[in-house]
Amino acid sequence: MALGLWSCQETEIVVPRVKEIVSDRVVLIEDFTGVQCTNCPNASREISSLAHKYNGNVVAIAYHTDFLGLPITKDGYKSKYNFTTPDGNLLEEEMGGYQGKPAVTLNRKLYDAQQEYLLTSSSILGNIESELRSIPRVVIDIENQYDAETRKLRTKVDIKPQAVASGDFRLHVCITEDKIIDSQIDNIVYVKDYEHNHVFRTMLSTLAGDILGTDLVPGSNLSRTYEYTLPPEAGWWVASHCNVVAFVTDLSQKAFNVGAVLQAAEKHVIE
Amino acid sequence: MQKLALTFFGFFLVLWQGYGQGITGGKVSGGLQTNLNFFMKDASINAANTPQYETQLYSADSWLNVNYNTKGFEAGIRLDVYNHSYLFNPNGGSYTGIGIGNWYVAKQIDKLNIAGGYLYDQIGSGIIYRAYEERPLAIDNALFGVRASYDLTPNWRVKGFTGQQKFQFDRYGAIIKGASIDGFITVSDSAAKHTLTLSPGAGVVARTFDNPTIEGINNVLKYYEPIDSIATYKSNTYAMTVYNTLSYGPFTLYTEAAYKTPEVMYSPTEFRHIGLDSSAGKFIKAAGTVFYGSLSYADHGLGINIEGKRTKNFSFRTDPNLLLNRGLINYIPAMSRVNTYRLTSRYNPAIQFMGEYAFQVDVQYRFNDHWNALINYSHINDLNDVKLYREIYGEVTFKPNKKNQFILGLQRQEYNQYIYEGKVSVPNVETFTPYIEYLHKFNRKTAIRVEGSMMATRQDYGSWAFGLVELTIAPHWSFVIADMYNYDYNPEKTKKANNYPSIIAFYTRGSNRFSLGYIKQVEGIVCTGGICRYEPAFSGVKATVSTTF
Repeated sequence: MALGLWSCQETEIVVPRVKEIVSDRVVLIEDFTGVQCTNCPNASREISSLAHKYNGNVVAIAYHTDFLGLPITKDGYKSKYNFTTPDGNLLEEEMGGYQGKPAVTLNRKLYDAQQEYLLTSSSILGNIESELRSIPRVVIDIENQYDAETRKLRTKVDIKPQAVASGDFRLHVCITEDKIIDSQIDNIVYVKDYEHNHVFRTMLSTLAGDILGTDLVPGSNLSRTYEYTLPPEAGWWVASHCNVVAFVTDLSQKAFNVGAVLQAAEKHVIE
Repeated sequence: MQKLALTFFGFFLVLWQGYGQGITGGKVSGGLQTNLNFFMKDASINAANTPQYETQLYSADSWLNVNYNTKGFEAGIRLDVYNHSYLFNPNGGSYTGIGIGNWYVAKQIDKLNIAGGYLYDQIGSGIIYRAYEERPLAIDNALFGVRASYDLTPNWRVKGFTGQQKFQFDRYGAIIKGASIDGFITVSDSAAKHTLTLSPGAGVVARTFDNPTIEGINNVLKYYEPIDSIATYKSNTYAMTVYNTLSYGPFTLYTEAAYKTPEVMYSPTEFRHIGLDSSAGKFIKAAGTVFYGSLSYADHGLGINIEGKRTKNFSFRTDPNLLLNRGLINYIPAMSRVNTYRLTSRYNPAIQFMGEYAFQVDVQYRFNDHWNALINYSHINDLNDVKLYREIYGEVTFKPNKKNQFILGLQRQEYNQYIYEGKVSVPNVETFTPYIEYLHKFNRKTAIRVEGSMMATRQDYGSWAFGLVELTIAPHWSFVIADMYNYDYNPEKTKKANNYPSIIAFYTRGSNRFSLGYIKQVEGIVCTGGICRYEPAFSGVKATVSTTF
């Protein structure tokens, strides 16, 4: 009873509500996932929810990596596609290796010395607001030109520095695809027609990023152009579902072999 | 922290020398346990795709502890070594860390006992508090803090403690404090045939979140949809318990009831709404209860043990964001038989902290010097009456003479693989496992033990056969050859009928024990007292060194 009375004296913690954030900052969430990963759809839904809440300020990439990313072989639910890519696997290694899935990174940063690069989806929730409130050091514009007949894509990426900065700056550009329908283990069931979004398809730049230089100066804009022919459409590689994702990293701010992300951007291949 | 520990011990040794008694004035004890793994990739049994199999090829876990005891003063220190260890994350993790894993000092001053450092302890059966070490499960949740206990009378003791829970070489932020009182009462009646004794006790434990933990909880909760939202919660959670052991002649009755004030807990089976979708696993806020009792009878060759418990919302952790075996403050007794044969122990039910209704009956009878028999029944459901686990176990031991012994048994299990292993779209595993063991002693030094068993099941990996031969040449040598064969395999789990052979040699000399073996091991769940850990498939060589001094 004494404990009960004592307990009643305590001031309760009030859970804060999510605040609206108006910002030019665009953060990158990278999701290391797999079609055989039971809990990965939970992280995927969490990321979609964040992208919805912070509309236009969150860019996501889903890398399906070994071994939970390997196709499902169960009868009745056999995967149509193999989403794994050598680049995805290599990137996961670069970030410290497989530590269980789902694993996510926010802006390729270590927020806590105790933590790994690859975090649980709930870990990113604690840092996304502060990331979104930070002032972007660069702004990225993407301009896509796509020829439906030849399936040729020409992407121009403009990087506009917002503040003077020194480092080892790299530009990473890749293609992701939404709305790919294929099997996935989702919590307690196999789902044959699961919708896979933000699926990493290919790099347009190098995985390590194309060198931009060591100094960013406002007014001295940088520009890079990439050309790529989309493979034939075969259930996937649907141009209208594809996006170009670009982000700038600073390799001088690294804990493993990847640099922290300064800013990200995304644009549909076909607007 | 390590500097602090070493400085402290250096100081302690110097001080002791200064008193002119020297370290040799007391008793030094300790031990070393070292497990070495040399990995040999075998993709056919899923022993692959981890850093250990792909690049590191080796892992080691080792613990070296030294204790010193003299005239009511005790001190101990332990070095923990993890090299490429998969203990903490068996799903492909690789952890390397070396440091002081434990140190403590304790002193008895008249009726007062004081202790500081990394302390292991429990209240009652552990339902509200248990700080313990279980190396195979990667559990070491010692409390880093201080403890004092005082003997009020020869039969009554009060105890209090405060500190933080250890994790690897670090500590969790929450503060854990508690107190308990334990007694012993003898009710003597000269006319009665037996003496009635009571061992009553009560305890309370409080956990106070630190600010980073609160921030971590808030960062998750603030994104919850209104339908799932938790508006407020308290920083402190109190768990309290009362318990008693009553003994009367051949009867022993243990009862315990525990209550925990409402707190934020993670429920892995409840669904959280995310937009129009939902995901398994969410935070809930609720109070918790546990009722546990066991009644045992032992007399005239007959032993009966009946246990029952009901658990509701009793996950009690330093941080509700922690999963699996991390951050556990309490322990709830398991309600299933502890099996030792390879196949009968393949499926183990883990304790369900969030909800469980279970009972177990165990009867053993010794007919005469030659025949023994036992039968056990375990029954575990969740609170919605979903079947989690059933086990019927019968065993007969026949010892015709001093040289020979036969054991014959049969086990029937039903095991909810989704709840216990998180495997999706799979039915409950249903098994029939007959087994036989024969022990023959050639002479006082040499003996051979032969074990054979078969697990018939259509689920999981399918049916298994297991055979083992163990030759013991006392007092030093022991050799084991065994094979586990997936003779009627499930093609959804494996492409062929795999063999899992092992050949191990043990050498014992005094308190030193060495082993070296080539082992292939199927993935499974390893449990101790209902606390379980996923053990991945293994292929390679294992070597162990253990000693006590």
